[in-house]
Amino acid sequence: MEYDKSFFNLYFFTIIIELLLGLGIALLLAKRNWLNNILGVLLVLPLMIAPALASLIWRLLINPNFGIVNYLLSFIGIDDFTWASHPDTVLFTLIMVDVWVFTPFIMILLLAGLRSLPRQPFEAAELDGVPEYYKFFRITLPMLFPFILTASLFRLLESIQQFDIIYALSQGGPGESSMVFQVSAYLQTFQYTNIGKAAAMMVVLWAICYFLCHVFVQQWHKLKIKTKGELLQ
Amino acid sequence: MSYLDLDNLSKSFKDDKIISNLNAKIEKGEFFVVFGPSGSGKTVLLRLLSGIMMADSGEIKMDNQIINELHPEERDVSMAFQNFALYPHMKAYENIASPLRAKNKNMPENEIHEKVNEIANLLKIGHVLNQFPKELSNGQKQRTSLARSLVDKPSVVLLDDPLRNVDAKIRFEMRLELPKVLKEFNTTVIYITQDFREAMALGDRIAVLYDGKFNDIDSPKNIYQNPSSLTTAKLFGDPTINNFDATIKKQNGFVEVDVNGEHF
Amino acid sequence: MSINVWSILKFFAYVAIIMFFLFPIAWIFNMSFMTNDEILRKVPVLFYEPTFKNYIGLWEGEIAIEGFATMYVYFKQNLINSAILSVGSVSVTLLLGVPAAYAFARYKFKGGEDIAFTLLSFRFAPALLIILPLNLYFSEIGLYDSYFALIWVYQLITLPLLLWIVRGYFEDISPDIEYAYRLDGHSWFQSFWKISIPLAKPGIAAASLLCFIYAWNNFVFALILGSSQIQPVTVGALAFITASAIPYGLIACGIVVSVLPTLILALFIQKYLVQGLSLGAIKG
Repeated sequence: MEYDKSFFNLYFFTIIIELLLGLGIALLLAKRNWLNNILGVLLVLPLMIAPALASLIWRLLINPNFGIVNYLLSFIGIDDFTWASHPDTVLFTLIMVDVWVFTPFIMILLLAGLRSLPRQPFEAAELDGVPEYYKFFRITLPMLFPFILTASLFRLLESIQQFDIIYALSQGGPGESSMVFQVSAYLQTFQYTNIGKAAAMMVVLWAICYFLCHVFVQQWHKLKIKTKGELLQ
Repeated sequence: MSYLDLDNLSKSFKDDKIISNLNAKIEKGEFFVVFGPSGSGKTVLLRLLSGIMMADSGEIKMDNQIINELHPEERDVSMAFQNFALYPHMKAYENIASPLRAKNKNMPENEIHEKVNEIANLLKIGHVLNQFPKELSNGQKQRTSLARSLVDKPSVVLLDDPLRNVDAKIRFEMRLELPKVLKEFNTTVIYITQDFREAMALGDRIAVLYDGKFNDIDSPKNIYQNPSSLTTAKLFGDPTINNFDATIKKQNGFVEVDVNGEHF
Repeated sequence: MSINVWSILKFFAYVAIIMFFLFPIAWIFNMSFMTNDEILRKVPVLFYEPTFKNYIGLWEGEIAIEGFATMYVYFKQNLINSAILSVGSVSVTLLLGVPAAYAFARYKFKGGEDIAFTLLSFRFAPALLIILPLNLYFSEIGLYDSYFALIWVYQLITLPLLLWIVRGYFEDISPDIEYAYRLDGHSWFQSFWKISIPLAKPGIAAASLLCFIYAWNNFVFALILGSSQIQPVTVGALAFITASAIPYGLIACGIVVSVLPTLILALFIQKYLVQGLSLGAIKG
C-alpha cells in the first residue's frame, strides 16, 4: 500500500494544475465578447465527453505510429515521447488527460463566479487608481474564494475515485507505476479473485470520501446562501 | 346564531404561543376586520381559518359544523394573500378561473367565461385578462387576486392585508371601492390589516388582536371612543395618544387629579 | 509598448487553449472520415477525400479490409444499449426523484437533511465499493447482465444529481402559491401537478438532461455488471480499440458517434449547465 501516499500527492497536484489553469482561463474569458462567449460554450465540451472515451481519443492522438501529437512535438525537438507506455511518463499522460477533461469544470464554475461578482468594489478601486495586481489579489480572489473552494472540493471528491481514465489508458501499468486504489481493487477482484483485500481498500477510501463529502456539503450550503443573497440585492 | 364560531383557538410554534384561547362569533355577511400590530399572529389566524395550518386546540365552527380537520380544498373559504400568490405560469384569466375549474364542478366553458368577465369588469381588470402576472402592475395583481377569491362566491372570504403591497393612491381608491364590491357578494369577510384607518373605514366590527387573543370586538366607533384597555387605545391613533399616570381623588367635594405632583 | 506585449501574450494564451482543449475533438472528427492508409502516414495529410465508409461500416456491422476477410463489428448494439440505459435511468430517476425532491424541499422532517446528504454521498462514494458486493448479489438473484439491474445501479449517480438540483427549484416556489391553488378547491396532488411541477420545469428539464449525460458517460458500472450483450458505448469502444486489426478510422468513427449525443445535449442545456454542475449552488 506504500504507493497510495504518493497518489494522494498526485491528486492534489492534478487538482492544483486544474485550478490554476481553470482560473486563468476564466479570467481570460471573463469579459463578455463574441470570442469569449463562443469559447465559453466550446471549452465545456471535453467535460461532456465520457472520461473513458476521452482517454481513447488521446490514445489515438498519441499513438506511436501515427499520433498527430507526436508529429507536432517533433517540430519542437521532442521525438519518440513514450506517453503511457513507460513508467516515467505514464503519470504525466494520466494527468494530462485528467486536466483535459476536468479543467473545464473548474473553468465554468469560476467563470460564473467571476461574472456574478458585484461591481461596486471594482468601480471604487478604479476611482482610487488601485493597480491591477492589487485589485486581483485584494478584491477578485477573496470574493471568488467560496467558488474556488467548492469547485476544488468537488474535484477532489471525484478524482479520489477516478477509475475510468486510468483503466482506459494504462490499467495501472506499466508495472504498477500508475496503480491507484480503485484500479487495484478492481484487478484484485477480477484477476486475482481476492475480494477481501479489495473490500478493505474500498472501505478506507469510502471513509475518506464520506468525510470530504461532509465538508463539501457545508461549503455548498454557504455558497448557495451567498449567491442567493447577492441575487436579492 | 352566529355563522362562524371560533372557540378557544390556540396555536403555538415550539414554545411561542401565537394564538392562545381566542374566541369570536362572526355573523353571516359581516365585514369583520382583524386589526393588530405586526407579529401579533394575524396571518397565523387566517391560516388556521383557511386550513393551511391546523390548530393545536379549540374549535372552528362554520354553519354549526366543526371544520378543524378539513383540508383547505374542503372548506368553503377563499383567501387573497398579502403577496397575491398568483400562478406565474397562467394568464390572469386562468388565475381567476381556477376556483371554477376545481374538482366536482364541471362548469361549462361559456359559464366560466361569463363569470370571470363579470368579476373582472366589476374590479376593472377586464382589459388585462390575457396577460401573465409578471406583466401586471401591483394594483392589477391585487385586483386579480381579489377576483380569484370572489369569483366562486365562497361563504367566507379571508383577506390578508390585501392593500399592504400596493401604492398609496391605489390603497385609497380601494378602501372606498372594496366595501361596495364585497357588499354585492353578500359574503362574510374577514379582513386583516395593521392600519387602524383602514380598519375604521372598512369594518362593520373590528377585533383587536394582541397577546394571542381578541381584546376588543366592537364597532369602529365604540372602539375608538371607548377602548377597553390602554394598549388598544395606543394602537388607535397617529400620533399615539398621550397618556400619563394620574391619581384621582375625591377631596372636599371636588375631584382632584394628581399628575406628577401637579393638582387640578 | 507594455500593452502590446500583454496582448501578444493574450493571443498566445488563446491559441494554446484552443489547441489543447478543442483540437483533439476536431482531429478525431477528422480521422473518422479517413481511410486507414491516410491515417497511417507518418506525415499527416491535411487534404484528402473524406470517406463515409467508416460510418457505413459501423452501421452495417461489417467492413471489408483489403488483404483480409470481411470484419464484423457490433458497435451498433453498444449504441442501442447506451440509449436504453440512459433513457431508462433518466425515466426512473424522474419518477422517483421529482417527488422526493419536493418532499425534501417542502417538509422539514426530522433527519431529512441527513437522508439528503447520504443520498448525495453515494454520488461521491467509490463506485467499486458499491458494485463489488452488488456484483455477487446480482449473480445470486439472477439479475446480473440485465438492463434492469444496470438501470437500478445507475440511480446511484443520476438520482442524487436530480434530487439536489430540483430540490433547489422547488424551494424557490412560494408555498403560498400552492396553498392558493388548494383553497381554490384543488387537491394536494393537483396542486403538485399543475403548480409545482410546471414552475420547476426548467430545473427538471436541465437536471434530467444532465442525468442523461452522466448515465451515457458512465463506464465502471457496465464494465463490471454487464456482459458485452448489454454494454454501452463507453465500454464497447474500449474493447474496440484493444481488438486487433480494426481500422483506426473506424475506431475514431465509433468514438465520434459515442460522444456526439452528449456534446449536442451540452449545447442545449448551456444556460443551466453551471447550476446543474454545482448541484444548484451557483445560479449561472
